[in-house]
Amino acid sequence: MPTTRLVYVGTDTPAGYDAYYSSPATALAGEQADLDALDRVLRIECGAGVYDRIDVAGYTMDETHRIEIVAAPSAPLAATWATTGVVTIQSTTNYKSAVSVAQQVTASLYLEGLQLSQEAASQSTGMGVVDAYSGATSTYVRIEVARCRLRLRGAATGYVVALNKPSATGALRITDCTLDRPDSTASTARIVYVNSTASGFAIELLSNTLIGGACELLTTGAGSFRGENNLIQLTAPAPAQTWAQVYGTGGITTSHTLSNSAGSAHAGTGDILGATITFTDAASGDYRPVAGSANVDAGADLSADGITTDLLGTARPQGAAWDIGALEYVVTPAPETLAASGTSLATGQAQLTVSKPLTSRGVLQVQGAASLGTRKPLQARGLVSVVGGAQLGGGTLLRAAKAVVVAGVAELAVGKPLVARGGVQLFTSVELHVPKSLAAAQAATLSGTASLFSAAGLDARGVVQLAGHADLLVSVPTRAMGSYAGINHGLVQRGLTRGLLFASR
Amino acid sequence: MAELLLKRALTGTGPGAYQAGDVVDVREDGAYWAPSELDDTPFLLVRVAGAPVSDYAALLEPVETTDPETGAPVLTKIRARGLDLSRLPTARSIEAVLAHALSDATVAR
Repeated sequence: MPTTRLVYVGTDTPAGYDAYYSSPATALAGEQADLDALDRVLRIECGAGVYDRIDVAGYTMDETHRIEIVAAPSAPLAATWATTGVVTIQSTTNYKSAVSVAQQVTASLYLEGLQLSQEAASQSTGMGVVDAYSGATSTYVRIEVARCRLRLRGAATGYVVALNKPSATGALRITDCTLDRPDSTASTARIVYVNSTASGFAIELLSNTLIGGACELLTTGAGSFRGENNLIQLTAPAPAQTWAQVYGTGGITTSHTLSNSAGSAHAGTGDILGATITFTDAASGDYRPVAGSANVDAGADLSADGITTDLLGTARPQGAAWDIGALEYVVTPAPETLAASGTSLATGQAQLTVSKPLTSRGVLQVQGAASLGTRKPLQARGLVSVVGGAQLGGGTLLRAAKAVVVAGVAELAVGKPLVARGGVQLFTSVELHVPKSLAAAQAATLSGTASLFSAAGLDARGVVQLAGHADLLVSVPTRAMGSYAGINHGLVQRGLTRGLLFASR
Repeated sequence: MAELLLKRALTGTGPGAYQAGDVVDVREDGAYWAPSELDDTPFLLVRVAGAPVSDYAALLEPVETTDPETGAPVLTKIRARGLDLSRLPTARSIEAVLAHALSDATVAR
């Protein structure tokens, strides 16, 4: 079982990581190694920011010993293509993809929760947003892209994802992603391109939304292809058939394709062809379905493939069945019950006061200047994310099955016990007021200038970590089954002895 | 003033591996560097007074050939040029010079 080396990229230094870098590029340079020999997985978690393109190079990998580049919990994807608050890795140079593994003899790369973009006005054949190109000597390449937004600008050729590894075995797996190329209608403007002559190469496109260009996928060689739950809207007029350029002798399986093409070269069960597709706001990259969309409840159950959420982390399914595409249609909860079964999102100047119990099954996000006040218990089965200048408060019990993340200058104030099974993470300038008890089943982490005030005690079963200028003020009873780290231990001990813990830096 | 982040030793494999003395990044003076980038084990940070970042752009250039089939660049070496680390003064060598200057031996010079 390989060990995971966990590194963080950003301008802050949250606790719990093995190393800290300011960019993905320097992280990859600093961590260069033979991962096979070290029996290691390298996981790079990125805080919000816009980062320059990266070459994943100088490593030895295999399927097990891979590199994972993912968004940190503090930087979840937004409903639209965002300029702040998310992780963006982008290229502005022709011939240089946002993420490239082109120079690797062996490559195993996993990407999740990122915005990946090629912004150059002109693209050349073979280049894209993610590529493993021109490495004819490679022997193994596996690229997995999960819950990412990918966008390729430019009117010429090129691909959103391009693999040209003629002799390599391995796989390309893209799940819960939007792949967007808004500027090109050329017949060579394909979204995904795979050229592999190896019979063992497997391509899977599951639950994606593919937008623009003239062709969704071109494959050549002896590999296999499986496509399910994909929503395809090519630039009008759409080609007569979808999957028209999918070739391969390893087997081709498709189902539940929704396309604006009237026919399919590889028809499958549940296909909806010749469809008119309407999104919430396609111009800003918001490809969420609207009420009545043909893709709603029209997909296959892919839970056996390990897919449980959509692009934004919303649990699947939201209705009677899975939706086709990267995003689930979230039913607006009825005011009386306020049971949000998908992502609960409050942004901008919105104010929501809840006087009934609120249950959120997906991610609960409060962003910008929005506020959410609850007078009854709030139960969140997904991530609770309070970012920007948002406020989440009220005289209520907050019970979160996953992490509670508070970032930016947000405030989280709850008058009743806060129970977070997935840990509590507070970032820069955050204040968390808990007059009652705070129970964290995993680590409680405070960084930057975060402050935690609890008048009734802190019960943390994991490590309590403070970094930077974080403050922690807790009165009895205070218990940590892990340990306190990053603060003056003498102060901690004296505080516990007299029943008061106060630590400042 | 420019700040150059150098790889101190070879740890990677293949043509994408940084050699000892290869420049990983160049930034303006005062730019943010994270703790691991200031760690002397994998990296060496060199500050150069009076020079803009653009003066050192060539140190970031790779060696590439062109794929005859696609025209795409193919990396053969991640950096064309690197610094000879043995020729750089170290903090210890500077300290030694300073100590010598402060010693009695140099009073009568």
